[in-house]
Amino acid sequence: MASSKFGSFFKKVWKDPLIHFLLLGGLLFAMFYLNGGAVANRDKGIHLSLAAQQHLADLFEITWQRAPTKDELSNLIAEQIKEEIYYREALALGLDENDTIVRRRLRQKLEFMHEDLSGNAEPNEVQLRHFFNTHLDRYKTDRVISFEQVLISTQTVHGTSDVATQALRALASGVSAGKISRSSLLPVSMRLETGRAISNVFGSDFLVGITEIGPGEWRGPIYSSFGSHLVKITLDQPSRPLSFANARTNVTTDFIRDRREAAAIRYYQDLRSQYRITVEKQP
Amino acid sequence: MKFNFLVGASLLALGACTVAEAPAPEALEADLTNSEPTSQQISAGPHYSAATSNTHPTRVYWGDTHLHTNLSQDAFTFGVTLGADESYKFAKGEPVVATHGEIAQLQRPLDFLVVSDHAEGLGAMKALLDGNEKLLKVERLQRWREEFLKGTAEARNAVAQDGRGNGWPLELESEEIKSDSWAHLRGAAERYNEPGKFTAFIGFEWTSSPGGSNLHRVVIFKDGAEKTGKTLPFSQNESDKPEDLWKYLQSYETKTGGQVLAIPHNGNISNGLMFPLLQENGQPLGAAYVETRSRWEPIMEVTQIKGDGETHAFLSPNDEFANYETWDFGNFKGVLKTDDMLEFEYARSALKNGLKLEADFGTNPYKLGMIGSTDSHTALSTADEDNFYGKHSAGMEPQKNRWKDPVGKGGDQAIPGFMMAASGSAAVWAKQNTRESIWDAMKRKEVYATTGPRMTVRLFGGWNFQEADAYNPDLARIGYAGGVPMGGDLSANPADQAPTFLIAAARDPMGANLDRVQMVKGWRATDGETHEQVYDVKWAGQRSIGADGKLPAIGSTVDVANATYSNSIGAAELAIVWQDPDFDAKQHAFYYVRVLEIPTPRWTGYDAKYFETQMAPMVRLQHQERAYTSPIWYTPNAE
Repeated sequence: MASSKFGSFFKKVWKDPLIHFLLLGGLLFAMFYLNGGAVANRDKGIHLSLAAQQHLADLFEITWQRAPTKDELSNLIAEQIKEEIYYREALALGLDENDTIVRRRLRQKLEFMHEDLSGNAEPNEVQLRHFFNTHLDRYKTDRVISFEQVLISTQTVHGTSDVATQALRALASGVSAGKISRSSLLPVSMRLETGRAISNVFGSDFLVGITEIGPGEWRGPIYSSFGSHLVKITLDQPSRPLSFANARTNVTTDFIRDRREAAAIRYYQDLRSQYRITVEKQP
Repeated sequence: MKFNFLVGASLLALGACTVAEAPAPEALEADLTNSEPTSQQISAGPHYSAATSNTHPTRVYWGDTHLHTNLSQDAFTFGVTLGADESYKFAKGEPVVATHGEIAQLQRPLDFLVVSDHAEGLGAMKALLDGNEKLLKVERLQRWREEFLKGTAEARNAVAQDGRGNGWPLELESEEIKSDSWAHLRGAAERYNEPGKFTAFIGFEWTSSPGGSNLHRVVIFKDGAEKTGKTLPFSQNESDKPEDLWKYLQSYETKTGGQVLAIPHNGNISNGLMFPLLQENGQPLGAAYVETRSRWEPIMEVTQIKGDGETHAFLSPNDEFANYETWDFGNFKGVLKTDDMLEFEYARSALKNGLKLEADFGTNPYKLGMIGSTDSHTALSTADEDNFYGKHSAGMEPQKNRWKDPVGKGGDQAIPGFMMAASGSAAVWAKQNTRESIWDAMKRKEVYATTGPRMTVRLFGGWNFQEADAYNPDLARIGYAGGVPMGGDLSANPADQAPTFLIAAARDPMGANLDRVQMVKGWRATDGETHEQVYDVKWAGQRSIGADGKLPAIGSTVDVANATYSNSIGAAELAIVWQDPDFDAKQHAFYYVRVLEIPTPRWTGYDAKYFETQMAPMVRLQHQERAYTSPIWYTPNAE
């Protein structure tokens, strides 16, 4: 796009609004005459099919939540015809050429069109399985943990303290956790929860504590911002790969998104390779 | 400082471990991976997620119902470059580059998010800068574009102010742009919605501002992209009357079989219009108004960046905690506030006036639950004091002078940045993290507001809770079995006795200790007048209520210079069964709980430390954050 045709004098003049005005006016006249005054595509006529009219009515209804009245519909049709006529005349005048706004809109439109085309086809089984097999790291379950806990003190107490040893003894002898816990809001058990869910309730220190002890008997104390807990892990299920069947929905979404992104890049590179591009450097 | 804070918990490298009890592997996997659980799946057999087998909500989910991206014309004008995709990524805990170039990340991800861009000219300002032909035909918009291209915060602010104060040009209401933008927002919500893990709601904001007075509502759909594709966001240019918004909501439900609700917010900028007792012409509101309003608006947003709306010191002169993050300058056009407007702007007085209207019309239009949200215009939902990305991207993201630069203007009045509140959060008691479950909880008002921190708060009202229930680790089951949760109704009083309330609050597991738990009661006396009373019901430490009826302040551990505090005061958990000592069985009443944290540094305190800057003496650097539950309403037995 860079051009060095204009000298510095021209650049100064170019910035003058009066020159803009004269130039634009001149251009319009020039184009009009160069194009023989009228080469708009008038011969084909303008046909507004019933389907096209229904489309206008539908658009109206989306906005106003009701069908247009007869008058409103005929206004919509009249406007549509007017737009088509002006559109063709404008094209005949070459108004679409070299206009930044039109260029940008056209670029956007092409991008959208291309996105739609490349993204719509449903991937087949082979493609999906291949995608799944090459992206196994994306399709895994979260690690989940089941545990019981009791808050034995709102303070930080050591494992050898009376309160800890007595509570451990009571729990070992079968006293229920609910009878011992000193908290009425912290759950005495959580089942098959992710690390994030656990730390949302007990905080991250507690999560770190329980991920280190492993399943077995009552252990502790584990500390949180609420105090000291005894904990019994009943299950610690590591993250595992999903089967293809269970991952299928996510695989399809990911496949389509990846394909669309790749296609957009390919499409542009393909087009770009057909242009010889030079960008003038600052002196 | 934690401007870039890594998520500790979710990043823990979890090693291999022994399996002590193995559930059927396929059943387990199916529950984890099916993205859209059908009602059939939910009702069949025992469930992988223990929560789904419970008959009551066991988990509180945290979210933001009010966030703007680059498709909101004011947010875009303020300069935000991020869109809905970045909003969701950020909410889910991923690092995102904010508009100002800082890498931002949440300390803890959200459980749900509503991207609620303004319906008015949805996406149009972005289209204008992109050079949309139709928009550039409008002289005023051309000027705005030139302002934009200057690239300064000042120029952008001027455009935003022009739009807010003098109205947004109608040409911005382009059906084509709006429809494209709506499709984009719905698509993004579908992409990031992960049932069981993260809920992305489809919604928008109806931004009615007659005369500059804020009547805004956030609209939240329960449904997915298909049903919401049959409508377009309703804008104030179609109508600025709430009655017409409600008609739109009705028409959506009729047409699609879907469900939708609306959340009013910022009564504090409505200049007395948000929760009226009479129509503007002085006529009664009428039965149609109160019934329709109560049909569509179950909850209100009471705390956000543009101020806290629980109550105002003028309305609650005996409440020493009433003057919190108060914005009472006037409306968007700079029409100044007068005291007589306040009663119709704040949550507590609206709840009281609702009791009056119920006497007149048989329905209480202000039977509202409470949530908090941010209303951020940065595409980043931040409500943490130490990780606050501000109101908008025109100089209000973290930077040295944001405390004194204007966050906005009301007429000629500049509002300095330090007025922003790093608030708030929406807490929802739900059975699982899905659109259905969380939306239903909002509808039944089993929700509460916080000014940012994640305190766990339970409130149950019943006729026969016992003192020991408050200390029972099975508190929730007892609460549901013996009463109603927050948002519920107490009626059919068995023996004209005072209700009992089972109340428990736990601190944010990664935040500050609690100072106290209070019960806020409002009631309508037999002469028709309403009253309010705040009771301190449970507190930390060895304090006792003084001769003035007040509990002494807890003190403060805040080290202002270093922006730190310590949990050496306060309690981790406060629980009690409380019975109203002033109960009158013939009076209609509501009860909600307010929980106060110990003092902690305010965001301005963290900023002062981080940017090594001295702020003016009027700027508060510490405060007491809080939670407000939805009320429980008491209705007397029929005579």
